[in-house]
Amino acid sequence: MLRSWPRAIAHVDADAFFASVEQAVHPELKGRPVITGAERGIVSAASYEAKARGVARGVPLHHVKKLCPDCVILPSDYETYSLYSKRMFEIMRRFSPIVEEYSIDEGFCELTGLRRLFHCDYRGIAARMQEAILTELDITASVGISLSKSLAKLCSKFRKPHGITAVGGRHIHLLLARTPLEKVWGFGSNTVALLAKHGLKNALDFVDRPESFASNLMGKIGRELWGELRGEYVYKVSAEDADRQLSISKTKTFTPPSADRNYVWARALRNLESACIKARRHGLAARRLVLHLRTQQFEGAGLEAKLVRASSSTNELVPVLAEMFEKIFKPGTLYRATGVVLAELADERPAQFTLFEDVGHALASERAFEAVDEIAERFGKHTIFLADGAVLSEQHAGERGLTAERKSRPLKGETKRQHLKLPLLRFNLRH
Amino acid sequence: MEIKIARSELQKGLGLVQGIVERKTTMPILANVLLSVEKKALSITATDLEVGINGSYAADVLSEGKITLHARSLYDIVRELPDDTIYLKVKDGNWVEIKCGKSNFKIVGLSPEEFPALPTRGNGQTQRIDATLLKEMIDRTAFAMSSDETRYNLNGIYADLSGGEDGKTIVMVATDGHRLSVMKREAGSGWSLPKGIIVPRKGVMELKKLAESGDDPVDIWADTKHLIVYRGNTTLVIRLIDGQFPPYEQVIPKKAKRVVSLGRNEFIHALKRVSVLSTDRSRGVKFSISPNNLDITASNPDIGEAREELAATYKGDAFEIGFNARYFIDALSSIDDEQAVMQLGDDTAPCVIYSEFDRGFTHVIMPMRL
Repeated sequence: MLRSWPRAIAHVDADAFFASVEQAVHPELKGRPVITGAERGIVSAASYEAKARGVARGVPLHHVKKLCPDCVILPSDYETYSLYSKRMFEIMRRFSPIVEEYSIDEGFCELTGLRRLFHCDYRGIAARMQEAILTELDITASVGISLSKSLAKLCSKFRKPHGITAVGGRHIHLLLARTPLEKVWGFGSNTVALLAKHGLKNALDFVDRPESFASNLMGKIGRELWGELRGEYVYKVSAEDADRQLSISKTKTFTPPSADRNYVWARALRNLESACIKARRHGLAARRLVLHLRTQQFEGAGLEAKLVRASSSTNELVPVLAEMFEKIFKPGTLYRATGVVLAELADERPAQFTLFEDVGHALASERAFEAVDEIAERFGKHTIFLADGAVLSEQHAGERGLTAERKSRPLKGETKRQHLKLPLLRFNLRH
Repeated sequence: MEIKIARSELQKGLGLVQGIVERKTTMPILANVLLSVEKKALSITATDLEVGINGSYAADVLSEGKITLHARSLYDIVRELPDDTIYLKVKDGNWVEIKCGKSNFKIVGLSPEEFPALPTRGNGQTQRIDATLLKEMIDRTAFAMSSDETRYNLNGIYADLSGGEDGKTIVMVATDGHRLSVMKREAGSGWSLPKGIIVPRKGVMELKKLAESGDDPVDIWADTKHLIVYRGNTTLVIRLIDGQFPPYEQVIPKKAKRVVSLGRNEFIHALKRVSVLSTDRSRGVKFSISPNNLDITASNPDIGEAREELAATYKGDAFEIGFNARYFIDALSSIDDEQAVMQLGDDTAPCVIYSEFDRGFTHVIMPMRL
C-alpha cells in the first residue's frame, strides 16, 4: 500500500490564460465572452464565458461571430502574457524553489516536505498559491497535487476553473478509474488505439497490468508512464529554466494567406532571424534546422537538415533554409504559416573548428551578428534584417491592421520599441 | 550436398564471416551464409551487400551442391560441438542434417538461389602489397574516419592506388572534418589502380582483420565501384562509397609559424589525466604555450579544474589555443616516436603533427574555441 504523500508535486495550470490576462488588464471585460487571436484569424484562447457558448480553441473567427455575436475579439498581446506568466512562476517560487516552467501558462512545483513550513496540508499550500495568483494577478489557476508529474497534471484538469484536486497515494485508483486513456499525458491517439486493442478502457486498467505489459508494448516510455501513474516519481521536476532549451521554435501565422513566393520566403526568413536572435541571447547554437510551411487547407509540409557545425549565425543558416524552402514550396498554393525550428541546441562554446570551411568567414559572420544584436538592443528587434525580408510590411502591425492595445497606445515618452516592461491596466476613472 | 569436414576448419570459416552477416536485416537471406561444395572444397560466403567475403576450406566431399543456413545459429552449433569430424548433408526442402559424435541436428535453411552473387573482378591486374604495411596504413588513418552518417563521403578511408608519378607511392586518408590523417607509403612498384576510391568503414574493418590474420602478402584489385582483396583462400569484396572526398591536400598548412616539441609519452598521459576534467561532449583542453613550457588546463563547472605543466622545446611568444584532447591522444598513440612535434599557426589555424620515424604520416587537427 502506497503511503499518501511520499512526495507531493503540484501542477499549476492557469485557466484560459490569454483571455484571463486580457480580462485582468481590461476589467470591464470581466464576465463577458473574450477571445484572443484576432490577428491570426482563429481563436487562440477563449474565456470561460466564451467557452460556455461553444467557442473552442482553433475555431475560425467568422464562425465565432455566428456562435457568439457579442464576443469581444482581441489581438494577442504576447508581451503582456509573458509578463503575467513570469509573475505566476515567481509566485510559485515563493512556495518552493523547485519550479519547472512547462509552458507559458502551466508549471510544476515540488512541494514535498513543505507542510511543516506552512503549517497546513498540501491542499492548503495549493489554496494559498491559488489565492496569491488570484489576488496579485487577478487571474485564476487550477492546481493538481499528487505523487508524480503525470498524476498532478491529471488532477489539475480534474476541476477547472479555479479548482484544487489533491490525490494522495491511497486514492490514486479512484482518479485513474475516472480517467479515460486519451487524457493521460503522453498517450496519443495511436497509443490509445493500441491499448484499446488489449481491452484497456481507462488509466486504471493500464496500471493494473504488470510492468512488463507496459514496457513490452510501449518500451521505455511505457514503463515510465506506468510508474508515474502508479505514483512513482519518474519524471523529475526540473528547476532549470528555459536556459537549457532543447529547441527554439518560431512559427507565425499570417492573414490573409499568400501564394507569393517572395512573401512566404520572407516570412520563413523572419522566423529564422527571430529564432537565431533567441539562440544567441541564450548562448546556444543549433545542429539541426527544421522548416515547415502550412497551407490554407491546414496541410503541412516540412523538411529538416543537419548542420555540419552548430551555428546561430543567421547568414550561415540561410542557404540551408533556402534549399529546404525550394524543395517544399509549391507555386500556386496558398500558405498561411511558416515555422522554423532550431534543434539539437548546444552551448556555443566550446566550438570545434572544422577543416573544410573558411574559419575566418565563420568568425566574421559571428561578429556581424553580434553587431546586429547590439543594434537591436538599442533600436529594437529586426531593425536590421536580411534584405529578402523587405517585402514584409511594417513589423508587428498585423495584416488586419490589428495591434495589441499596449502597443498602439504608448505612454508618454514610450516608443514602439522601448517601453516599460509592465502590464498596464486599462480602465477609465469616473468621477 | 554431402560433406565431412574437420570441426576446426568449419569453425574458422564461419568465424571469419560473423562480422559481415547482417543481424537486423530486412532481407532474411543476408543473415545466412552460403555453403557451396565444388570439387574438393567447401566455400563459405557471406555478404551484407556492402562487404562480401568468401573463403574455401578443405573438406571430404561426398557430393556437390549448395545451401544457405542462418550464420549465427550454425556458428553457435559448430562452436559447441566436440572436436571431431562433422558430417553435413542437405535433405529435401532445404533441411540440413548435422552430425558430430553423438550430436545430431536438423536445421532448415533458405534456397541458395536467393543468395546474392558477389561482384566479380573486371579487367586489370591485381597488385601485391605487404600485409604489415597495409595494416599500418589503416591503423594510422582509420581512427579519423567520421561516424556521422549524414557525411557519408567521410565514413571511410580515401585511397589513392594510382602509384603517383613513379608508380610506387600509395596514399590513404581519413577525416571527420575536425582532424585529418594522411599516410603515404612506398609499396612495391607498378601501381596503376584507381586514384580516388573511398572504402567504407565496415570494409576497412574487415580489410584490417584480413591483414592481421597472417604474414603472407595481400593482392588487391579495384575499379571505381569495388575493391577486391585476395589472401590465400579468402576473398574480400567491398563496395566503395560513391561520393567526393574533400580536397584534403589544401587544408594541410604549408608553413609553420610555431613549432613545439615534447616527449610523446608524457604528453599523452598528461592529456589523459587533464581531459578527465574536460566536459564530456567537447573534451576541450587549453594549451598555454610559452618558451620551453606547455601547460594543459581543463575545467568543468560540475567537477573542478585541472592543470599540468610539461617541459617543451619552443621559442617564440606565449600563446593559448584550445583542442579536443581526444584527437591528440588518438593521433599520438598511433605513432611510435619519442618526441611529439606540433606545428602551429594562430589560435584558429590547424595544428600539424608529423612523425620522425614515419615520414609518410601527416596529421592535422583543428583547434576549438573554448
